[in-house]
Amino acid sequence: MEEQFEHLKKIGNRTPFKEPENYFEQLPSIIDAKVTPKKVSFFEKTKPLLYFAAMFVGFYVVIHFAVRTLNNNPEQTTLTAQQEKTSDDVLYNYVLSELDENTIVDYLLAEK
Amino acid sequence: MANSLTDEQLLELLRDEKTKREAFSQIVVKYQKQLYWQIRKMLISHEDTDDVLQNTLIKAWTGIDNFRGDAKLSTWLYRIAVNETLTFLNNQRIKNMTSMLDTEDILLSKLEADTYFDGNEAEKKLQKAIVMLPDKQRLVFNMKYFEEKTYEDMEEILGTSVGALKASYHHAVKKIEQFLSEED
Repeated sequence: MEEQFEHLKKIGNRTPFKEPENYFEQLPSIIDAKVTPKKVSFFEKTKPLLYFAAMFVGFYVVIHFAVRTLNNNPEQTTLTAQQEKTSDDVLYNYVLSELDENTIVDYLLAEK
Repeated sequence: MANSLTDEQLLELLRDEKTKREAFSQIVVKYQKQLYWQIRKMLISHEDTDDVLQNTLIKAWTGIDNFRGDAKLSTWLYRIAVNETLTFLNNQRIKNMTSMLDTEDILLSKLEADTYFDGNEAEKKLQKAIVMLPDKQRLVFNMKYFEEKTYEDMEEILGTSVGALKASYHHAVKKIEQFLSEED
């Protein structure tokens, strides 16, 4: 074993590294800061809830305006009026087709 | 609080919630250097050592309530440091699996680039030889050769029998001597 240490004996067992200046003076306070429970303010505590509420309000506003915009669309309005007009015409034509001349005369006489 | 408190006194203070934090700070001051140098000899780079040492101390803090005092406080801290160091090296291996470099190459390049290396050429050669050893053998060699720990202390820290540790150290010395004679 003695022979085996030939080179190691010459080199010695000094640790050939150094640490940055003041490292060991600063480390305890770094660790202390990491293990100290942080004081959380009321705002910090409720922050996730506030974010969620803001998101919800945001969604509501966006959807509300989108629906309103769609409802106020002039094309959409014209189309609805047209559709209403068309359905009135269909009803009028249907009623006329069901009546003959005699029925109308009878109705007018009965009115008198 | 004085710096010269014994481990028993520190453990006593750790049991009291009022003095627990201060006692832990004293433990950090007392053991930071030993732990730092143990990790540093394994990882070479100061930055990596700093990361691992901080993780070690934070783990010690979170686990301090489970420390029952079966082993010495220093042994317990050394064990955490060893586990953290080996985990770091394994993670580094996994990270570099895709590249052609292995951990030894990375450690060698860190040794070459280390601005905090404070040795001569012969000491650098020795570090290069140590880097080539398997992790566990490197740990054993560093503990025995640089820190002059007893095999019994090493047995407690590493959980390996004295016989196996002696064999490991013997193999490490042989490999290092061979490397150094080839370099001459």
